[in-house]
Amino acid sequence: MTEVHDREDTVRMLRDSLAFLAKEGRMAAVRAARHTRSGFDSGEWGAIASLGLLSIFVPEERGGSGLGVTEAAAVAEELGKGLAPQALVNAIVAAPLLPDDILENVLSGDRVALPAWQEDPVDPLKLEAQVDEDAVTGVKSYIPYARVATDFLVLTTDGFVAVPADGVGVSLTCDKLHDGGHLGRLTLDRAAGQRLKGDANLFANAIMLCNAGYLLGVSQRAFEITQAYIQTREQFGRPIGSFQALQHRAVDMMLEIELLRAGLDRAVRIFGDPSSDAPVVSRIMARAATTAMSVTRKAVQMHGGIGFTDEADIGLYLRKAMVVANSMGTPKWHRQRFAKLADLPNNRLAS
Amino acid sequence: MTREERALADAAMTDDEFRTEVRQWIAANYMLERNLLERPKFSVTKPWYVKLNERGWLAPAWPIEYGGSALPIMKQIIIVEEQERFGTCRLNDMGITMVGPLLIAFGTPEQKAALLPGILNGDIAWCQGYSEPGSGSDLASLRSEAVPHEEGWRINGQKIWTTRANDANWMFALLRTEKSGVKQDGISMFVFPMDTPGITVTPIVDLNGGTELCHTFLDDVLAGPDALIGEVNKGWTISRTLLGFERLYVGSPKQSAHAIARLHDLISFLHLWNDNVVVDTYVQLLFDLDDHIDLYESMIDEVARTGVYPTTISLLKISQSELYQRVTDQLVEIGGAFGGLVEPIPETGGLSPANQFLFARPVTIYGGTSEIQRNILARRTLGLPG
Repeated sequence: MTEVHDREDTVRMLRDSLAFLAKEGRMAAVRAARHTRSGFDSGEWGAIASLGLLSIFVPEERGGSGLGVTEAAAVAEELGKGLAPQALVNAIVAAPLLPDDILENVLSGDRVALPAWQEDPVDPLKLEAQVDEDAVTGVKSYIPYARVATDFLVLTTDGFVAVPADGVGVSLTCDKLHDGGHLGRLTLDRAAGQRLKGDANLFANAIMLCNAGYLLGVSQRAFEITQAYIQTREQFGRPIGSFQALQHRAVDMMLEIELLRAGLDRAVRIFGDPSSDAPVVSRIMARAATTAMSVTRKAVQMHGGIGFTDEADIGLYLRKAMVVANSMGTPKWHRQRFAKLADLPNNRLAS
Repeated sequence: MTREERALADAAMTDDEFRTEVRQWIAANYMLERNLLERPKFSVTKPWYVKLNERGWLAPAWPIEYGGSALPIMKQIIIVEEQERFGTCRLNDMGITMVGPLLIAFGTPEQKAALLPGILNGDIAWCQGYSEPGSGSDLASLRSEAVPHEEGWRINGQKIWTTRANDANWMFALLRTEKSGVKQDGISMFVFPMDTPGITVTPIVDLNGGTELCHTFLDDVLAGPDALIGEVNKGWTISRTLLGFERLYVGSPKQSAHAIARLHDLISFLHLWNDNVVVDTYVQLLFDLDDHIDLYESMIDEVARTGVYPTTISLLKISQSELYQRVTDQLVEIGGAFGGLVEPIPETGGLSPANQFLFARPVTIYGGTSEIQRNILARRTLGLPG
């Protein structure tokens, strides 16, 4: 009981520490930072690092908080609400795998280490990058906010390797994304690095689950903005939120969000068993992606014409959902992964 | 052990101990057919009803002084869950979940003494007289009336959708006792025996060929003064006070889980596990079921922890009933030419897509349509203007 209460207190404190992401003017800052070099407000990363949030997964004996996915997913949810760069979530999951010298600078905010793990736009687990005597060769094409990384945590067929971004044989090209960030394509040609210990499956499932938390935050705040808007916007002499068509749509959005929240709450409680994590994580990720897209789409529709303008905040949420939701396995991919794992013909209720 | 001692012993167990106890007891004592989709007649289910009452688990929520066990909500849920798990048949439990609590809260000592024992021992089977031909979703517009006369009340009108009125011996009904003013404030709650002269019951044949639903005609039905429950013109209010556990229980994933198991059987029977489109459809529904189960259990946890039913609880009915329909849609679609069969598909041991599909139709209609549920959630939970 005490442990549960401590946990709830910790989660509440972590959430409170990110209250500044909900401040007046926040969305103006997010909007202004789009398509700059980093894609986000330059002070933001350091501010969040200084709160100790990058060390959630790092064990206490290595100077971290020694917390788990429950806390990380809650932090990710707050980051999503405030449209903070999603790369923060990825950096949080990557941190415990880093060697001491890099980790120290990452936790202080002086360096940024981002995971470079995906090679395929649809199948996030497809893996061909090779490591040969601490030199990595391969192409990692889907790294959000890659330009801010000083180090990459590269996943190869033979484990993780830390590779400095300015090393020999390392090249990076970036493409703009609709959330104002960018997608990095990292080419490694016998790039020197430091081999690291770490479980690739645990990593992949943790990063997916935490990003489901981020998408919950995106969906939740997009819904709140819409709920407020339809109570103030008037047409036909009444608030449009008094019309049944919009009321029913709003309830559908609430249901989608509550299903995601309940599923995620359960998933983070049972997470950590590599033999059973994948089916649950795939279910939650499929729900998160579908919900974020559905809720933000409906939110724009309920705003009417203003929802299609760049000046309305709601469009920032739609474009964030577009960028993040399908980036770590589409819902179809997650259902296929589940089907393969579940031996469906012989498993009546597999999950 | 007396009933009270046993109730206290049940209350003292941990939830896990209690679950084991319930599970073993059901396995040792259930005597009827398992996993029936439809509800048998009351006379068929009565032995199980009586058995549950003897063990103190028929009315676990009722106070001990009225023959209940006063168990905490988590243990009430465990009793329901373990029965669902074992596949015990559905009972007519309106006396337990609706009329009994109404009497306990609002009845006179005489009414309690006259009716509560009969509810517990299975002598009384209830039907609910709420809806009328002109008053469905707009229930408060109901017009069947009770007019005072020298020996009590004279009742006239027509009720519809009275489930199992032809299998019940008492009715509880909302009737109009005041025609002017706010429509909700002119309604009272009544109970009376179905063999009272002037009551005529006519079954309605439903889409599935069933005859559970009935018209009930009330023509100069004379009821005594004790037929009125609670104060006159307070019927609407008191009928709304007891909906908590019902609104939680109506979200039970049982129907959807049962239908998904049938979908699994159908896919196996048709040899479609190599069809990626069918598998994707199936997994999507399985994901939806698990998401729903998580939502249902999170609300149970919340109610157990806080003792309060959250306003979002109505989401459960929408979520469950619409998922159930999505699953049965696929039973009919994937079933192809078998989808319209009246009888089960031959050589499947009773697999009937059409039966499931038609059985799922009223679930989004009864107990407040999905549309009415959305109206209520929009106003009460989201605070949207009316």
